[in-house]
Amino acid sequence: MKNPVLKRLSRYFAVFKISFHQEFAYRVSFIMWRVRNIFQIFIVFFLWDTVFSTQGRVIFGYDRTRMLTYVFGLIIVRAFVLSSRAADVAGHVARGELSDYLIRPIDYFKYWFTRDLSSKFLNISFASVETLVLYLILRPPFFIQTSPFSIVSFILSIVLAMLIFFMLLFIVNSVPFWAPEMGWGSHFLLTVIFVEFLSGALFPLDVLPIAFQNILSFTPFPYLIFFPLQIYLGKVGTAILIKGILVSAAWVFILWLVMKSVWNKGLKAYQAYGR
Amino acid sequence: MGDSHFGYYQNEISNFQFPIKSMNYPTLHFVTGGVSRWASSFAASLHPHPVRWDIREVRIKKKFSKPKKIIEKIKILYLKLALTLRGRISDFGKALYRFYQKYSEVFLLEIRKRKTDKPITETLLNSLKRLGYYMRIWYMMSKNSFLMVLSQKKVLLIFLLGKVLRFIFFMTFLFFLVKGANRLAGYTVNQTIFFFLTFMVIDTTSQFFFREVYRFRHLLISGDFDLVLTKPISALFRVLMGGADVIDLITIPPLYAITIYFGSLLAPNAFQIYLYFTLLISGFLIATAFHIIVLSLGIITLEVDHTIMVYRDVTSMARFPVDIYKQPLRGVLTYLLPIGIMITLPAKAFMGLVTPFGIFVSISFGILTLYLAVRFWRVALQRYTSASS
Repeated sequence: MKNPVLKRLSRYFAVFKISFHQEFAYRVSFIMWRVRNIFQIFIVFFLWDTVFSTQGRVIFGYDRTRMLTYVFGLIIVRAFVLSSRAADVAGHVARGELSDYLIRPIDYFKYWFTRDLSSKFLNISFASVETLVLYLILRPPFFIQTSPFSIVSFILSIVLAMLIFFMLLFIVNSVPFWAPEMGWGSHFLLTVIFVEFLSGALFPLDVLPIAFQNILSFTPFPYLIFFPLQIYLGKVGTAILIKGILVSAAWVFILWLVMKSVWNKGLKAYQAYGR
Repeated sequence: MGDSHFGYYQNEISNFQFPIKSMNYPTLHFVTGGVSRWASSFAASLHPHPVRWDIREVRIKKKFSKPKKIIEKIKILYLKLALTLRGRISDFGKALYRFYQKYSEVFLLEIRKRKTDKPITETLLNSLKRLGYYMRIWYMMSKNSFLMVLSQKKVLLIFLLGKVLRFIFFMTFLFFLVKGANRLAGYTVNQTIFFFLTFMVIDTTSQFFFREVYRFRHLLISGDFDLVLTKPISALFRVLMGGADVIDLITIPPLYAITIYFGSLLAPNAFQIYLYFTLLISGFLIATAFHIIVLSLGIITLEVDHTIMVYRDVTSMARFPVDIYKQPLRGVLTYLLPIGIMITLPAKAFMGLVTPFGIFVSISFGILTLYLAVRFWRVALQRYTSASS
């Protein structure tokens, strides 16, 4: 392979394939993770199904069809955005395994982003099947977006959300450079608490008062799950949509700078503990 | 059974005055009064030949209180007899085996009778002593566990902060959701929050006591569980309650205070409060049973981490009253995976929404699930292979 770009790409394609196979090495873990996701969807679905049990009811700006579509959309958007392997970076740093990767002819960020893509690919495959099965079991009304502009914006917002989440994870997983024992703790705080509650992964943020929503709109969290789903459901006007996309892009840029800065400082502090 | 094995037993039974003094007049020395007379006539009736059996005494030490030990001793007795007489007297072994079977049963009855003959105060005192012994061990293990966590104060702070934030976020969400929707499955804001708080009380308290379950897999795959089994305490107690969680201990007092506050807003009467506590205990029994089942499955499958998280996910369905789920899911959550009984029912009793049948079902379920879980643990323990040690 003479083309250097293709040669470089082939490296990451190999990483993608290996990572994909690694996911199957721990089948029980993966299946359990999917089972847990289904439980979460069950809870949210029945909660909202009860709230909208009265025909024609509109609450928080949603009718029954849009709300249940939001719940089903969660399965797919979560698989796209929140499936990730970059959480293992903290372990690499804490155990000194990072040294092995620093001497390899690959970019560490791209390596983990490729692994993330591999994880997302696998999770989306399963999420699609789960959505279909749950749809057949629960038979909810489903809103289908037909506007090409909304669909393209939805896809763009998902791509930006994936980048935001990747960078957030990388920044948080850099903590072990300075405090090796705090890798899991900081990851827990980010993913289990902030992302789960403030991204709209558990409930649509419209439930909260306007003042809360305004404050949240200045953070990167609503652009992970809530904003893409709002676009799909056609709940945002063109001006707000463009503004949201621009804010997401700005967050990608800011987080990129922060990630680079933190990583470079971290590498200087890195002492390869355990090696 | 090989000779070496038998040799081991020989040492064990050196306290027995045994065996046969004469082949023509085999004499067994037994001590147990009525039993010896019964055994004498029984043995005589078993044997087809006119051999005189003089069964006088069995010197089994009285300190052997556990029936299993007695059975082992009698087995040894039989083995020694059979080996001594092997090939000398036809069908003696068979007869003696039947004798052993019958005798052991009678002996066990004797022991049980003797146990019940003890004054109740003595039995109570022994139980209290045992309880005090286990409480001292629990205190010691919890202290060690706390010291381990407290040695990493930053980590402790992060997890504490995470738990507090999660609680605040969820309460906020519930408040605005039910306020916006007016009611949830017919329940008001305060009632819905009280369901959630009851879930938190059971979940946090059981996590505080049973945090060690989350570390059980390591014990299994490293083979360290063998060391637990050799200790003179219940292995189940050690792996279930061996590491109380200091973070939960910190969150429990404010959680209980908030629960009492929201409970007071529902204005219950004394009987409803009494029922709430009774059913809460029943809920704890079910939670304990769930944790024991997870441990038992861990022994059989070596999988603990995901099983416990699935348990957490299932129970988290009861953060809301199970009334929000449609049938057949509601039935499954109430009776098959009894999280409805475990969490929703106590809160309903507090609101005066439970029938006497519901109370009966709850208490019966609590006791039954715990009993079955302990049985399952025993079965699982027999399947422990100690493969990693």
